[in-house]
Amino acid sequence: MEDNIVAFLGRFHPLVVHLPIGILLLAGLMQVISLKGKKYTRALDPAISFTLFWGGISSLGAIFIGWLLSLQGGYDDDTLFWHKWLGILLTLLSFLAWLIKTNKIRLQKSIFYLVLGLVITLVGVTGHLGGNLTHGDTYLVQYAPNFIKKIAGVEMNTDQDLFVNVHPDSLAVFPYLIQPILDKKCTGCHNSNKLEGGLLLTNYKEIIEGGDNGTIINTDSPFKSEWLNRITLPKQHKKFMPPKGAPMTYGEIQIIEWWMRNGADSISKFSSSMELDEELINTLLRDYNLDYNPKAHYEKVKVDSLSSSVITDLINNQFTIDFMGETNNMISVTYQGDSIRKLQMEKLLLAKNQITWLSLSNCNLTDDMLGVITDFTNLTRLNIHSNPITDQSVPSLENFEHLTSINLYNTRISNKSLEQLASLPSLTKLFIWKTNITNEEIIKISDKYPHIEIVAKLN
Amino acid sequence: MCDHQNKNYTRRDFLTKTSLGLGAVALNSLINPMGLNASTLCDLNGKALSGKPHFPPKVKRVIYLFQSGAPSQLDLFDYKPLLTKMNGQELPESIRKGQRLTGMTAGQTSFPLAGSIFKFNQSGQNGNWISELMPYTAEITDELCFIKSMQTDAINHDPAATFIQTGSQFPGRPSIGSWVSYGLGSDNENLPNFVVLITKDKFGQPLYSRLWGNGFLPSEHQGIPFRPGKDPVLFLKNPPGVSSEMRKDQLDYLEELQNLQYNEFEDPEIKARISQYEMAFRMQTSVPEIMNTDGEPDYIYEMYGEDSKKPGTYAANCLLARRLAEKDVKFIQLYHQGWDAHGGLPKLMKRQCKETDQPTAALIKDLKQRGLLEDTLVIWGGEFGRTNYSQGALTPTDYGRDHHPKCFTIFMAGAGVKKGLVYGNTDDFGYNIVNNPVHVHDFQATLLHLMGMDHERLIYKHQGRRFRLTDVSGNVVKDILS
Repeated sequence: MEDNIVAFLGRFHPLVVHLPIGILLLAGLMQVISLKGKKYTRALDPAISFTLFWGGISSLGAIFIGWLLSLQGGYDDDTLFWHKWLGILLTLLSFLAWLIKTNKIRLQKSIFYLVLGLVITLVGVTGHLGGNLTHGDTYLVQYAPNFIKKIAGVEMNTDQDLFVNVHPDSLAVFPYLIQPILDKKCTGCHNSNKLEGGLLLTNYKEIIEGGDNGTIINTDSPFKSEWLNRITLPKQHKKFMPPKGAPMTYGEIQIIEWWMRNGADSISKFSSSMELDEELINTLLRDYNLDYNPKAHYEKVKVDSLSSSVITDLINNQFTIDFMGETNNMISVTYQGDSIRKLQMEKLLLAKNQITWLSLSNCNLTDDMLGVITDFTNLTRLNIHSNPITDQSVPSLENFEHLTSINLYNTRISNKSLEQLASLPSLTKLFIWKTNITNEEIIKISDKYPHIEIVAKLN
Repeated sequence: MCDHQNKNYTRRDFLTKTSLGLGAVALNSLINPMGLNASTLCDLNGKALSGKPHFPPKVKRVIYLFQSGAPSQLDLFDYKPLLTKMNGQELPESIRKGQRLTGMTAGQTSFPLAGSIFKFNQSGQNGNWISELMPYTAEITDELCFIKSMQTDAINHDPAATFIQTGSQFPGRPSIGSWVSYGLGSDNENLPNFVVLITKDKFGQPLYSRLWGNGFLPSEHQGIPFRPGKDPVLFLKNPPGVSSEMRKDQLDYLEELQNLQYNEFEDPEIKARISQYEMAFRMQTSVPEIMNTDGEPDYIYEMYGEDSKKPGTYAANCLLARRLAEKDVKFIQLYHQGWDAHGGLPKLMKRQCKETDQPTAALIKDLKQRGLLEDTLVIWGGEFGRTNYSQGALTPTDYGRDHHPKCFTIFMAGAGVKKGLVYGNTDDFGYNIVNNPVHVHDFQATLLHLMGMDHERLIYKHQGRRFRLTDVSGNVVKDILS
């Protein structure tokens, strides 16, 4: 960076400004003490006028280099106006107080108290405005207890309670993830008070408008955008952002990149894209406790809950029932007996929408009985191993849109059925050890349906 | 009902509930505490959840192959070439950082680093390094999910085993299997929910029944050890001359008597006793059936290894574990002692691995080909790890390793966990964890999560305090979930 003596001196303002603050507060303190009695008044009066004078002088210095700093711009005009003129007023008042104290102007004592009180108040007000200019207006109360925040009228979301009432599928990326990242790491400088680089990062509209150098977004190649470029530079680079404080994490960069690549829309959602990168899914789960893993059918579908009489009926017919969660009405049903009867099979119809895992293994289940479950639309796992089932059963299985796994081991299924089974739309696993299906057929079908894991004998 | 005092309502309950009207009290006492499926999941206020898990389960049953005595991770799964390179050199203080040692090596003047004398080979699609001691396990590495960054709080066997099995170093808490049984109820009314199989004729660190004990949970949730041989469960058979019908009549009258007693004292242990008598009666036929492996074909015995024909061996127990899993037993707990290699490690490890490697791998493959791995989780692991320095003299052919709680390796296979994943890393010395540490409580939280339970909500009120398996800590290790 080129030499700039003005900027160099200007940056001493936050340092120098503490001289008048300290000195003038001391004058106030001594004045309070001198009220205790004549003895104190006599001893302190000369010191009070001395401090008021030098407080005024140091204020002049602070005003001068403060003015140099303001020349560099990047501050909120309104706040700067008040900070500057209140500072000047403060200086004038402190000289006035000095003149009264040293009797150069003869005025009533009460006027002196009034002027001094005003000086002390202005020290506080002007100092606070200055703080807001440097750190942003939420800096002071960012970590304050909630009741103080309420008094200060500041709304601040914490990471923890951000997502409590939001379903992951309805969570818009920009307001819930990106703006909070910016608020945490960027808006200390890029706010309406400071406006570094002419860039305001406090709301969507301003972000899209960009800064002094134009747009900071590039939806075609996000890493060529000014935004992602600046936060991914080497840390020592003078253009690295943020210049101080914690850099962006890998996960935050990932989220911003995804958002930019998907159009940098203010309302875009993760769920609206077909598939999320596995790495991004992991990041969101780890850093935000947001689960975007693909969900099983039984976790998504909504069905009525079963009445307790149906449940009792099933249990009395040698079925055990496991529920799929306290808010999920789907059930997993297992037949416990050795030999199932048609009548028992028909009991399952009472829960045909609720059954999602069904196990009827090793119980003499025959082809004709399987016809009962043909329209169990929400079935995702079917376990009918070790039964005298043949290829004639397969037509009963054809309607299962959501079936992901079939266990047919130790049955009489043959080559004829393998392709029919493999073409079920959601199927990913097929267990066919100890069937009449040959290795050649397995290899053939595996090549044609590579997404299906066909488990036969394992050596 | 989750207010597990000896009375259906305590003074405090009485005062709270009468304020809501006497009707509430009446209703309260009418609700059958054993409910549907005997399940008693509660929410945080102790309200029962009508037999439902908290969320959809991935795992319906667990087979936990507990390797008691702590197998050396450095000679099996945590490959550290640096130790071989620096073999015999002192363990740097910058690595040990004043870590406490056991009384067995605290007096040693020298801590020579001991590289494994066993060869490591890469296996599977992820190129995972596994020792030559475990050739069968290496073959199925793509099915396994390794955690190389396990850590525990305890440094001695007894507290460490108690810790990983019950969530507390102090005796008296329910074991994982008991919590699972308590939380989820039973899927098979003819067999216990929680079965324990211990390799016979093994020595080393003792196994106490508290490892499978029910602690303060109702006693029907305790693990039931099945012994090898003629009498798998002691005193289960009818005495000579007593027929099954006579026994049934006898039990029916006994139940009537016990119900009278229950109505008088309302002690839930009486209910537990009734249900256990009934279970025992049903087990008179179900247990011999499950323990009789004569019907298993030869190729299955071959797969599990020659030991599998000898009842009571680890291999035979693995085979039994599969048979129990087929019958929907929820928690099957195996114990294999003898891993405590303070000295003579090479010989000891060879023996232990020969006994366990093939059956473990066979069990996982057998479950897989039957489709059982879809909803069964197999866990292999000990109570802590072993040191990277030698206990006693280090010679070219012999060394020993002391207890090391700061890192150890376990693996899992089956439902809900990522296949072929190696999670967590230790440093090049195999001493400290570099990333992704998994504390024992995290492991337990993850296990419950896989079974559909929130470890922070599986609670039991006892002596005025609410207890959890994970006590007051534990985070689900989401990175390993599939």
